[in-house]
Amino acid sequence: MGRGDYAAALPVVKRLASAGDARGQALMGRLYESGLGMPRNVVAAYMWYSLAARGGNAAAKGMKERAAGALQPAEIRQADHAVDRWQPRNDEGDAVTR
Amino acid sequence: MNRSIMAIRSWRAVACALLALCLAGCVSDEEKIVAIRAVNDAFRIGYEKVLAEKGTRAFKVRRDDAFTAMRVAMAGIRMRTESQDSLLGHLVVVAPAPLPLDDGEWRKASEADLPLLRRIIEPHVGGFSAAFVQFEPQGLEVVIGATFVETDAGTEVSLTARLREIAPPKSGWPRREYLSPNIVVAGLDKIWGVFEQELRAAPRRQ
Repeated sequence: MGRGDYAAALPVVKRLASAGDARGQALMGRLYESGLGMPRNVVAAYMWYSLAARGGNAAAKGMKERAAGALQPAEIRQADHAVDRWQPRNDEGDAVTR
Repeated sequence: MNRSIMAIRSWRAVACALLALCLAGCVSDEEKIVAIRAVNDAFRIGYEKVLAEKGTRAFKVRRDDAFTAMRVAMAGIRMRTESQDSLLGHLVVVAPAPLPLDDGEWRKASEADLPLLRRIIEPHVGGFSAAFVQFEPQGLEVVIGATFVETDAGTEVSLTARLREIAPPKSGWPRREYLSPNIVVAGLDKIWGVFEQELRAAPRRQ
């Protein structure tokens, strides 16, 4: 994503990420890490990158490691635990069993 | 009479501040950086230990209810929501230090940690300079992270805390990232207290 209205794109990216789309999840990570269209949050970036990497997005693995460099060990531990338990959700916000 | 006592006290305060600045000036930047790195390392170990004991709690509520209750509880102690992602179950709240503690709670907790702070920096800056070092909440924000994980029995909530500089310190000492152990304990106890109170008060979805 180059120039553009990040805040307007956010709902679309969020819906993709929420449904389990690895590209959407990696993009969410980038938006959080750089604070585009939302306040910067490196823990959330790390979590989205982790989900994207788990979903097969190869580039997300390196991004996840980069984000980890800015986090406390406790933040990484808690984020990893949350990612392990995370489930994709549909538009109604209900968990989708895969 | 009162005016002269106040004048003497004011001059004494100014003299103490100048002395502290002079002493800080006697320590090289390199020595200060090494000292603060040692403090950060020691406080990180203490912080991780406190978090292992007090950083996570389980509640028999839905994740969304826990998330909302935490937001409301933190707003009640003047912590502003900086970032929230209900899909991930992650919340970040921020406030200028000493929040979430009040001045008295911060003073009590930091006084308990002051001997530890001075003991850690003394080998790097000397006992004389170490004796004048204080905790400085001014120019710092406390950043609290909360993670909400859905479990079979309800929701597991975990907290983290870090310091973020918003203005350079008057003393010229570098900043540390980790809060001191007694401040972490006092902060976590306060947050869990207001959160549980909010959970009891809030209506829940079925």
